[in-house]
Amino acid sequence: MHRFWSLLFATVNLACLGLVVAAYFTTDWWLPDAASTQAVQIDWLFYFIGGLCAFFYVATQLILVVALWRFSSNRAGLANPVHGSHVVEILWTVGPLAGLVVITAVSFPVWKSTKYQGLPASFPIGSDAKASDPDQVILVTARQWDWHFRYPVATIAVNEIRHWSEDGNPTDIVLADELHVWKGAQVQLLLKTTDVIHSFFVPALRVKQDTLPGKTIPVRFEPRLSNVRFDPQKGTLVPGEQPKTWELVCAELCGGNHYRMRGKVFVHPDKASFLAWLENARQKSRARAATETTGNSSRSAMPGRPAIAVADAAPQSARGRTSDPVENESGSSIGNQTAEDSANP
Amino acid sequence: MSDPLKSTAPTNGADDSSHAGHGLSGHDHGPTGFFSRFVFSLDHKTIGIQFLFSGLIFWLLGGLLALGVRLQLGWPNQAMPLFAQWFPQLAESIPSSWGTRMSPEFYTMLFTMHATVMIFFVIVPWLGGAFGNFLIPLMIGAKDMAFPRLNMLSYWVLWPGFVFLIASFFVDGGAAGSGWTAYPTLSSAAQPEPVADAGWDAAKKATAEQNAEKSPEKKAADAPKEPGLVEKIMKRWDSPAAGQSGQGQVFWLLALIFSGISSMMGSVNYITTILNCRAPGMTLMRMPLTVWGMFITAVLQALALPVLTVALFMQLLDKTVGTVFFLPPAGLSFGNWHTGTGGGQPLLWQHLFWFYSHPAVYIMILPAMGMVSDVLAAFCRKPLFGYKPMVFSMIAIAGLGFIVWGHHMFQSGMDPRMGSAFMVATMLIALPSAIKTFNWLATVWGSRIVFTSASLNALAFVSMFVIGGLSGIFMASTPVDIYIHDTYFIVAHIHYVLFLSSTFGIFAGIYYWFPKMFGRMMSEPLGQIHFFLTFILANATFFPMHILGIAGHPRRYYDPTLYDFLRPLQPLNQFMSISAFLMGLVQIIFLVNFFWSLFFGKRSGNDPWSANTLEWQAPSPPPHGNFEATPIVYHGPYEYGMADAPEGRVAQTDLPTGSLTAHSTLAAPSSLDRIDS
Repeated sequence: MHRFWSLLFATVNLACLGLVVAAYFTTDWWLPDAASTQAVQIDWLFYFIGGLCAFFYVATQLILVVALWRFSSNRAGLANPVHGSHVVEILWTVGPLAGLVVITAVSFPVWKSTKYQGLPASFPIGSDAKASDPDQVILVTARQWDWHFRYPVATIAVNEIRHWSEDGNPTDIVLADELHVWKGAQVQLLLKTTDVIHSFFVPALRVKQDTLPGKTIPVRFEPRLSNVRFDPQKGTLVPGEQPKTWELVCAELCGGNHYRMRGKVFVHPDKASFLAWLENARQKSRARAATETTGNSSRSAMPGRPAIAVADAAPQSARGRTSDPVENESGSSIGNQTAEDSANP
Repeated sequence: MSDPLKSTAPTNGADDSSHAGHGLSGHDHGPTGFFSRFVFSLDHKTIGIQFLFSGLIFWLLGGLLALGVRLQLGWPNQAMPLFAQWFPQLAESIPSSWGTRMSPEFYTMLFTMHATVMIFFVIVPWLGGAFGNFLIPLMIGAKDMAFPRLNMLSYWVLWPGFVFLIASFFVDGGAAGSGWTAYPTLSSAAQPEPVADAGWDAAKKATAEQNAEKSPEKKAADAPKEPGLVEKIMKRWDSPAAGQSGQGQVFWLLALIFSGISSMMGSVNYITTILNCRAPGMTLMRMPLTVWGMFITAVLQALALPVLTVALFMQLLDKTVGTVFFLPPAGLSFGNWHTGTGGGQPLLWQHLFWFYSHPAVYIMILPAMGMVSDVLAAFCRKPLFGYKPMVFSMIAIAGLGFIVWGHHMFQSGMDPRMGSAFMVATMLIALPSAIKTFNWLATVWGSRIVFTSASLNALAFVSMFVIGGLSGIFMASTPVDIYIHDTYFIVAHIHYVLFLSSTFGIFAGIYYWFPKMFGRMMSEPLGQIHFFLTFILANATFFPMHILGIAGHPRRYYDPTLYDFLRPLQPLNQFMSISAFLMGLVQIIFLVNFFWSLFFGKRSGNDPWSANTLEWQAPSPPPHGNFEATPIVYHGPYEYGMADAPEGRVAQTDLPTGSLTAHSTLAAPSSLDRIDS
């Protein structure tokens, strides 16, 4: 009977390990596509730490299971009252310490290369002098409960970014819940929020950054896979190299509809495809603005800003995004909604 | 026991001046009135048991809230089964529920209140309040706490907290729903003026006029009642950010303030008692690790809780009187509605909150670590492998615990360079935890394990703490945390630490000390069945959360099936929900065992487990004043496996003999000279 408990501990731990292995081989139960350069580095770190942890996990559980098997009170005699050993204590202090030092040492460069970019250089330590200028700057404004992406039509000079992030330009294209970038671009997002804390999280890009009321927070990444391209003939988006939907989620509780801040990430294969799409969006937006001046203008949630073209996913609106009917109404006017459907095989 | 020093030993424990008003009679008998014995008792044992029972009630409430969360996650958007059928009216009148379905707001309330109840009203009161109160004086050989009256107050101050907590479920908007972390500005945004909604007022007026036309006599009944002063004030707390961030949040803040004050009173008392009221010969390095755990926890609480209390008051002021501690200078816009200008910082709350709440994680595990060490040594019949490394590890955890709070904020918008510093400190704090684990394993190795409900739960603690500890290393690494922060990986981690470790430690403690508390044994077969099922089901409930986290499943999502990348994970979500419901059912076995044993359990002697520590020298249950005579301590707490001692063990009070001292970890008590002076 006493060995029953040893077997229980062994079984439960094996089941846990088994689930990890099974999940690795199950589609969509593991890390999503590594669609950015930092995703590759983060995944590598994840597996490195995972390997070290698996070693300590298996070792400690094995010791416990064997101990439960061998040392029950059924054995004759007293326990060996051995206790205290400087050598052993030092060994099992130094061993894990070495592991932790290595983990810290390999983590730091990745952290530095992902998050230190875009920091002001005023503080000498850690500002990344090698950081190149961004190829693309997008202002992201979160609010309860959607994301607004503001795309400048022309390239913004580096020293103008700060000023632009405050007021924007009247020519900017603003889209709800759609992030468009291109493969290989140094993308710089500027995250803002108008109300509460949200968190910009794209699992496929391994990008996560909270937005903070009153602050503009820079985020840098470089996409390395592309999932759509713009087809100028059809005037829509079509599936690209990786025909996948990459979703943007909110990772910080922001109220009841926290779970509905769904966005989509479109990575174009090159800058040309992105520019063609942007031009298309600009024309659509202009045409829409022209019709809207004649219609009612009560909807502008953000007064003094360009009209918001919403190319929201159809299933999302179908799921009762009824809180803001105007969004649904305007969503039908933009061309790439059909593209969106075709991008979802 | 014939102790020659017995007659000469002076009274110890609480000094007489503080004992003067304690009880009705002299120092031999306790108070006799019902109220002074069972309700407003000054006796640390009664107070401990009061904490135990309060915690038990809130444990059930917190568990039910968790099952509500699991219901929604397993089967999103379904009508609440059974509940909606049995109580249709109630289900529809739940604050902001969608008919018989729960609304997203209701869901945020469920997980917020689940965490709040479990952390602040179950684990902290159980570990610190129940076990701390009951065990500290008994284990150090004191008659009572140093400040019995303060001790009583520490329990009764919790009651306003209970009232606010329960009442918050019934206020307008429902109980708090901004997470147990209550991050501003979701939690703190307030309206400087009551909102005058012209459209709404006009509509109300029109309805009233219509009614008046129909039946003038009904006019009086239908006219909007003039709200009372309390309603008017409470209405002003309504939040533009979320329905539950209004009155519910104010009640939440008040409940936590009272719970914090209770813990502060307790911690001051524990520190004083442990430093001043130890029995003769009970040197610090002879204290059982449970007492060490409680002592270090008390120090943590005394230093960290004031910070949380201040933060809670700041948020309360933001919500009620219009201060702007957490409102950024430009203010906030909610749709077309603006809060007005601020001047504060939302991030300030996160710093203050985690400055307490990271140490709080250790407050919720260190006492359990101590208790598990005691239980393991007693049932392995073997000295704890490294007593001093265990003590120093706990001190190291407490010390480092104060400089790692930033690891909750790696992605918060805090300067990433600070994240680097917090990563180094966080990696370091993994070390003492590892040392403790290895010492437990070395204690089990070569022992003679007696498998009881208590020892099984303690062994499970060791096994599961390894998982909880190792998963913490992933999020300590800042780049990996970019991905897994605020995903289910974190949820898995906290439940492996707080449920599969702390709660299993609490189970071990209840099975182990129940005979001392109530003089009766709990049923072993029931206890082992309960352990067996809970161990399996808890792993089935919480381990798959790691997988969800690895796949990127965010926390606090009402309906994950909205997302393409989360839909394939739904089978796992359902599996976890089913496991959770079964686990909830299994706890009935524990409750039955607990209450049945309370009245019909086999009577236990003073020392049913042949354990060495002082509490087993006292009668079960111990009378007022605990010990028949003040115990005198000659030995460390874990002298098991002694070949030449009766039963193979040396109790802490056993007289040192020539042959025994050779095995003693410490020589004859140096503090004996204190007795003579």
